Amino acid sequence: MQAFLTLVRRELAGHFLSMRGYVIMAGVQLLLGASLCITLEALNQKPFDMPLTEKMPNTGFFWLILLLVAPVITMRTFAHERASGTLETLLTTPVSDWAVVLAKFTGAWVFFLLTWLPALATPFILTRYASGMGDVDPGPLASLAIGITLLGGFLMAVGCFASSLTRSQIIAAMTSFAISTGMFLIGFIAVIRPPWMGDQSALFSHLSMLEHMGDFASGVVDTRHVVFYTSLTGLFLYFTHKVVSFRRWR
Amino acid sequence: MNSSTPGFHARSRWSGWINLFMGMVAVLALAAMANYLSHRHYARWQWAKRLDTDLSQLTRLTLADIHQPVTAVVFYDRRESLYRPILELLLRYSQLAPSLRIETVDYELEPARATQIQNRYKLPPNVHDLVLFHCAGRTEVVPHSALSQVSPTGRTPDGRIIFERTHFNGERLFTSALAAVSDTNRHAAYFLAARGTHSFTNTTSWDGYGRLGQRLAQMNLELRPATLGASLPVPRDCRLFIIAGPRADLDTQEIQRLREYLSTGGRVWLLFHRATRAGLEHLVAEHGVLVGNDLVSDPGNGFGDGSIKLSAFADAQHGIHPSVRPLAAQDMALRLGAPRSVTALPSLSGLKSTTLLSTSPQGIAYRQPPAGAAGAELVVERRGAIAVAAAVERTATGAVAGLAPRLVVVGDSDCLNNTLLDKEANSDLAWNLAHWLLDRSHLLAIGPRPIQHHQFSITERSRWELMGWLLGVIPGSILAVGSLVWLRRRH
Repeated sequence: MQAFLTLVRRELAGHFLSMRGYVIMAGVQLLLGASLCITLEALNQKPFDMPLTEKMPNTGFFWLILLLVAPVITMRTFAHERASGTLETLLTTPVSDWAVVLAKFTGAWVFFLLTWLPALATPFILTRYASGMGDVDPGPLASLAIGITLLGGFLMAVGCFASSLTRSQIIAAMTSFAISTGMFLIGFIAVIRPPWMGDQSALFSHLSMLEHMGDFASGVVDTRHVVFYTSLTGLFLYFTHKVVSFRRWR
Repeated sequence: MNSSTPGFHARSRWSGWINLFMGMVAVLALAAMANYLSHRHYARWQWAKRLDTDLSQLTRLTLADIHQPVTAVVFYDRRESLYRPILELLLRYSQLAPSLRIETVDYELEPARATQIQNRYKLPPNVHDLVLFHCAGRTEVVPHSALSQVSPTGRTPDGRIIFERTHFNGERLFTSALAAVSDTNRHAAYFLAARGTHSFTNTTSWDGYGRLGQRLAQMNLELRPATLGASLPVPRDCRLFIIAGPRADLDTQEIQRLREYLSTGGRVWLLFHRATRAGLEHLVAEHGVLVGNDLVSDPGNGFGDGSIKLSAFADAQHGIHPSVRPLAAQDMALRLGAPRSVTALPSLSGLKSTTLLSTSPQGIAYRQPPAGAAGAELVVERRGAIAVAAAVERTATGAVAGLAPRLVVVGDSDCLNNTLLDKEANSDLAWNLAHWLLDRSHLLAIGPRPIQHHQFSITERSRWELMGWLLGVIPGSILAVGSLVWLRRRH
């Protein structure tokens, strides 16, 4: 456990002791801020009967941030270590492969959540600047936070897996982006539902990130979504572990 | 070493590959299995106040009684703000009634499926936004317009009226529709189709009652026309007889038929036209209700179009009647055209008459000018809180076994016409009165749920300030901290 915590600290230090981590955080805040300003401009003085949190996943910025930031955070987890030759050193230390994989994943996940943390304060900031906002309903805010946490975990696991496959950070980022965006786009099949589709629509609906996030943003926590994201996160972490072990074994 | 036989390294490498492959397949299968099981056995929690889906006891009982497969089709544009509350409510229903299957169709995104649904359930081609319940050949449609109540909440700077949704009727309508499709007995309600009454087939002109007819059909009622006469009594299967604003006097035979019907436990819903009492004043007086030959107004409680706003439901003697209790609880108002006074008399043997609605203490009743005296000066008959609707039922002491007549008298027939039915809580009043008359008072327990509205206003200065914080200060501060860390580590 001590080794795991040391590795997590090392990962977080990698983000916070370089300019890179701050640039990512500032970029996320800038995009979130822009998204909010556009939404405010569109809704100013117009009555609407769903909370702002519910409108959030309908904005392009929301998904842009999620899908773009995850590869940027995770691309260096394994690829950078391999390119700089420190992965072999790490793997020869008396630390299990699982500890290495989980520490890198946890470090990336915690950093991802920290980049989103200021967004939680947004509704409260709005109540200060905009009149008539009413009380903030903490329910949808909490469920949206759970949704972002679970989705973030899945995207970090995909990113770690992509990074473990190659020594090039760019290729790792592209691979991660391609897998995440592919998963995101699969969800659109459930929304469009071509005429040929029968019972498969339930499967695509189950895979649809849009539908999951729509639920979370409306204040709905569904065990199906929780199982979906945790199982996929576990699956990609297992794949990552296998790739790392395979390299050691080879 | 013999090169023709596989060596240790090759074998272990192959076994490693197989091990890797099998491990990946096994974990993949585990993930698929977990998802499959989670799909079959899941739980949903609604944390948002607006999705509060605590169901009433009646809904739970109705759902427990459903044993046949029922399909609920949510035929909606998903961007419509009511879509989510509707879906969440139905999902909650399906958790309690596993035989309820929910199908969602977005007619914008799925035109082919939308056409299939329209053909399957014989819906008109241009129909949009509705929820449909189907069971064993019976179909009930809940239209979008009935699912929420819209009220004016103010005016825009250029004088246009702003309308907002104030209440969501989902549970009440869905439970009723479910009861209707799963119940094979359809009760008959008759309306007097003579003496210039409002037409229950007319859905287009302002004074028609067609829309009310549609609402009554949603209550699993079969609405039929009736005429009364010497040899034409109220039909035996009549569960509710509606007399909607007769403009001409009923003859003695017709009134006698109504008297007989009430004396045998009949249920009558009587709405008076502003022009005449149609000779019915004596009949209702026998049942403890006095209908005035007047016109009531309530200065200061109007909508600016001649109609009056009523929100007083309490009766001094009997408290709030069950049919208006949900409206009083939600502080909902009603819109009446030009009612006449309807006073519940305090004591008649065996009868309990209760005031349903009354004006504010500023109400004024003007005496009706005599026929042909148009333009005559209006004479004030009385002032104060003037009752305009009453309900009568036989008390326990006056009830004969199996006979329990009920009578509702409303001093304004315009309030339920096609124009005013959906204004304020008028349709709720109609819904509640019909259920009370039909002795389905338990359904009154399902009241509409208030819809929370959001509207914010942000000044130009605040907007720039907010943009400064969101786009400048917060990202800039993070970058500044990053630069400091970078500089410190560099030197």
